[in-house]
Amino acid sequence: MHIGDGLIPLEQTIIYWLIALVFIAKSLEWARKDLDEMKIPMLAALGAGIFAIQAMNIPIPWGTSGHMMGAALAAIILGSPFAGVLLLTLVLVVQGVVFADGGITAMGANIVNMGVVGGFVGFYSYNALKNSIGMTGASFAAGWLSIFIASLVCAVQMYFAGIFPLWEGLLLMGLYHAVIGVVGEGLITAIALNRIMAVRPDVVSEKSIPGVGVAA
Amino acid sequence: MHITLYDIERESYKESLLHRMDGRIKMLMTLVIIIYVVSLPRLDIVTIERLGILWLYLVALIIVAGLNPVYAAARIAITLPFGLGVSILQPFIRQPFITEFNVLYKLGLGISVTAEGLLFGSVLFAKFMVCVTAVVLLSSTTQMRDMVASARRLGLPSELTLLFSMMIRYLFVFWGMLRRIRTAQKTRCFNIWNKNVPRRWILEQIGYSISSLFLRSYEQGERTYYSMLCRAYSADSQICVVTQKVGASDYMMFSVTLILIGLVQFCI
Repeated sequence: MHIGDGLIPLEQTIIYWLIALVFIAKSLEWARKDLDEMKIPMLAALGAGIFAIQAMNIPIPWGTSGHMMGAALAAIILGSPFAGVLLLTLVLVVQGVVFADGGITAMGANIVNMGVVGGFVGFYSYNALKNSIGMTGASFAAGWLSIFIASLVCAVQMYFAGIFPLWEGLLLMGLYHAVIGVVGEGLITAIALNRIMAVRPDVVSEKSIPGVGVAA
Repeated sequence: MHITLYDIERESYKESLLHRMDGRIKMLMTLVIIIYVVSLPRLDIVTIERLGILWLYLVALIIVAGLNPVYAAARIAITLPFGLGVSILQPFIRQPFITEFNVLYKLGLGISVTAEGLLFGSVLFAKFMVCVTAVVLLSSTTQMRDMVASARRLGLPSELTLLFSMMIRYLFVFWGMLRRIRTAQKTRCFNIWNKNVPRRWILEQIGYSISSLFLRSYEQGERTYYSMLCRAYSADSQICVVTQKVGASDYMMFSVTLILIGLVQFCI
């Protein structure tokens, strides 16, 4: 889902960058205020961790392997959509600048679809569902929805860039990610969250534990 | 060839005219090239000629920098699939911003190749290729910590600088951890495609590895944070960045690049 440089016209990349910058600024504000004192350094190691997590091969149907995005998992555990935005931004910047994966001008668009959409969809869908269907079901749905909606946004971005027809793009990107998202993002988010809950429940934000927090 | 963080780091520690350049100048140079490339008209055959010259210039710089050619080619090749895929589709698509199409071949089933689509696809691919090459050159000639320090001196906010400078330090820690997890799994004959064990079990193992990576990075963050506190870190702490003066050769490289872009823009 990493859109590269040269595919999106310059004026559109500026718009995506501006949107991304607003959310990055907001996520820094969240880190400063909500993350106790100045725990910002903690996020640096987590960014490196998510980077490694994204390199983990996951078997998906048709014999191809996929990768996890991790925005929903980070947002759920740290209890804020902005955690997903900030961590994915760190990862995408390193991928774009060091690995040439995702581009420089197009980075704003990638931060918008994976970080912002991934983090927000993941966090709010989890919170909407956690009290009715429990942690496992909600985290599965949140992981799946986060990558599915992000892929639709990516298809719309490609349509605006003039490089892909709208309906075919939505259908192709949507279907593909809906299928690989079941295993790659949904199941893995649910398994990992369950495991972390069992091993170190104190790490998981109170807001994300069913029965308390936002939706309660 | 499989490219890892280690390969990129090894190349960036080499010695050459480009490696010695000031990080800020290299980053600005890359940015100027990329912005110029992205801003070129997308339906103009001349764009391809311009991009061709810029690409040759970047390849020449890769040679001057003494990068391993197999490494450089592999770095570019692994990033291509997305851009190549999008570009290859263009001749078959009716782009909404193009009003008139000249059909070159009819393939039946309502699919046809258009001249405009072919040109558009070629321009897209050429743009993508030049940008990727520029970033490969930058990242192979600049150490990551130099990039962070340079970004700071170019105005990156101090909090983000802190995050990035610490993150790149731990990238290698967790990359190594990922490698150890994989090695350990291999010694136990773990294979994600093994048909003799339930798929569910395989996915659980991957989920556990991912949760372990998450927790270990979280705990590493905690430990580092507490040790920083012990060393009197506070919200007002200043980050110390390595400083380097912009020298004559930096100005020269930057001017050469700007002049080349000027020539490409106005003489072709």
